[in-house]
Amino acid sequence: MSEEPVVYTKDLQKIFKDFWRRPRARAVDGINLELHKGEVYGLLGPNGSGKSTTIKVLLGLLHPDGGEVKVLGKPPRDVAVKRKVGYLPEESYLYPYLDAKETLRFYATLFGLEGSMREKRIDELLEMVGLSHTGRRRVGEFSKGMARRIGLAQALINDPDLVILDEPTSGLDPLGTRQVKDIVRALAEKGKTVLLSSHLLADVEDVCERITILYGGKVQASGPIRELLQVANHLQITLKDLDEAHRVRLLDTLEEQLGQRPTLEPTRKDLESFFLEVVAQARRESGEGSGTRAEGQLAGFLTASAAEENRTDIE
Amino acid sequence: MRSIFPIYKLTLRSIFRERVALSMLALLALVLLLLPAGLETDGTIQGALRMHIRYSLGFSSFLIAAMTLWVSCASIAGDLSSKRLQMLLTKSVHRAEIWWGKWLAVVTLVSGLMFVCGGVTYLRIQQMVQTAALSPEEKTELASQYITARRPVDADYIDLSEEANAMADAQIEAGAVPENFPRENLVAQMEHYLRVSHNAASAGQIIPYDFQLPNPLVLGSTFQISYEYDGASMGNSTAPGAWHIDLPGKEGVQVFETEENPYGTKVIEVTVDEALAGATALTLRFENRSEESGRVFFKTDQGVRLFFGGGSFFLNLFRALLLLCGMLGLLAAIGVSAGSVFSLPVACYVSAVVLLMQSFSGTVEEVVAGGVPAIEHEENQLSHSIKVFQYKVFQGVLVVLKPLEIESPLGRVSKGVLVSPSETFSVFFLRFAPVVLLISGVGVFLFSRREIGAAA
Repeated sequence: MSEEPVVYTKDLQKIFKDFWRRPRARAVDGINLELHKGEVYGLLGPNGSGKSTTIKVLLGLLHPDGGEVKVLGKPPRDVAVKRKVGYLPEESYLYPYLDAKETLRFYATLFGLEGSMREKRIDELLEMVGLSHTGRRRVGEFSKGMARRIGLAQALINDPDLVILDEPTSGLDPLGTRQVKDIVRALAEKGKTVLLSSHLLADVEDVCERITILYGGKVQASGPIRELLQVANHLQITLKDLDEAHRVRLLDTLEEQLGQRPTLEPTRKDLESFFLEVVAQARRESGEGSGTRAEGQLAGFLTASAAEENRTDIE
Repeated sequence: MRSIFPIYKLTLRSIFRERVALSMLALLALVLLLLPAGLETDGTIQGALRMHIRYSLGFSSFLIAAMTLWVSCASIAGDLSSKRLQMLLTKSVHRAEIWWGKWLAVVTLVSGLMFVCGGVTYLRIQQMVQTAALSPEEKTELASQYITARRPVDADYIDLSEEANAMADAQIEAGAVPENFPRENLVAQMEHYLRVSHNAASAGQIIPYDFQLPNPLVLGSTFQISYEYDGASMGNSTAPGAWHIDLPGKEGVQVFETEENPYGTKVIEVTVDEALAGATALTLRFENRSEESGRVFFKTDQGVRLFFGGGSFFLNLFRALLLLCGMLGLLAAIGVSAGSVFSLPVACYVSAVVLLMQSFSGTVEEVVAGGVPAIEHEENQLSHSIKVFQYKVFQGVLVVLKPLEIESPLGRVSKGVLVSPSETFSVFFLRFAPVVLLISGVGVFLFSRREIGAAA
């Protein structure tokens, strides 16, 4: 791609040192990343593999000890860069005595958002994450799932070009997980770049186009997810409504032609789809419950045309 | 700078959610309500007023200082330990804005508390004066000496260095001084001796004090001669005396006879008559009229002063509170900076050490003023070198502490002495502001270089 990458690192290194400045741990060791506009990128790895450290370097919270790092073409510590970045940390570190609206209002004000535009965004985001009905309830009283939702909303308040999500679905029920994934997809469709770090591999597989797997601070595997998951020399044929007679004939033909008899298994739904179907059915039958309510649809201001309009206002 | 205000508002709000801060507020309220009842006074309304201002308000300001220390250290260090700072720093915010937003919030809160305490003290004083059974004379004395703001004029400084040097040379020549005794120490001792002598009058002796007046004396106006004895030197001796007011070429324009004793501060009320009117300088002579050995010692530092005018006590208290707020602002700057560099316990410790050292800066100053330590009899070179090194350390500490050293104005307010607007202005803008700016610069610089969210 000819466009400048949204995130670019080359030989990125981060070494944690002790009190006497002696190297203690090499948390990130020569990581190369290149994220482009409109891409959903997954950063995977077990605990201590360097995911969070890499993210913190990209956010300008930690200083790299070597290599090159650029976010939106600039050093990550540049405040102008932060204006266009949204971040959801692995735990939502919120001010417990503020309610949902006050929380978003505070962060919105830091981005210079004022007046009716700010209030409109807050309402849209609360609607989007399903917290519009929480009223004056303080976020300190929120469940973990609700805190994640408000965390996601604050990450999007500035209509960012780059969204960094650290374990965005942790603590969410399957419904919330699906909504978050829908939001991530919708963000990418609108041209936002999303960097997603998660332990939940199914979530990453669902939404990411490319991934990098880290271990011991080093890149172990990297590339488009479809290519990485492809099993060599194995093919899959999917057919619908095949009766017994056709099935036998098909197997016989394949055996005759290929010299090996393939196995046939019915197609299964994944558990998430099944769960969502059951809940959707139950909702249709009994009406809305008392929990969060959202459909995973993007807030109005995050859509491309509105985004352009709002960005002009901020600048 | 647009982010300062939201951070300021949020910090103010968070302070009221902290248990430690709330406990301190409760303690402050208790002090304000209960301490005055527990203060023992000398039984006079004047004594009660002075105790009230100096100790009740003084203790409140101490508590507020402790609170300042805590909330300022916790403002950034607390956000860091709760990881909320990580969220904040990923937004479009400069670290300097965080520093200033936090500092302003702390200063607003503690200044507000200081003024509330000052207001309560003022109202209580008014109530004490109104309910006290006083004669008209006592009321006048109270109004002219305590519930007022008098401008002090000190006697001209007498340069004794030449005389002290000559005395020191004579001592050295006579062989009365050990060989290695530093000359500057000897001169300092001689000068102190001479200054005490200049403020002491044996039987029949006279001590003159020259004064340059800020404005010509106005006919019919009043001023006060205020003097304080050095009780430690005088012991219990009493002596009859007289104060003479002289003008250039005209001695004894007014004479006041007194019975001197070593207790408390004495005040003589002087009414400007035709002879004194228009004078811009005068000499005050104290005459010891004792016929026996009674010797009178006045304090060498501000022992004899003149007081002019009677400004508003309310405004004087207001200016004193402003100065106290400035001191709290300084303390808050130290706390916020420490909190942005260290963890909360370490930040509190560092700030408390700075505060303690600042309160001992007088002692440090005395040590430094004592000069380089002399080598003692049979002392070896190593031990002397260590002493010299310690002395140099004290000198360094004083350089750091000197800008932080500010005299509390409460003592003056309790004595009805003016805290002038010009002094308030200059201390505020030439002392507090540059030091706060300096501390903030260092704090923001270190805060900006600090990594946030590093693995433990």
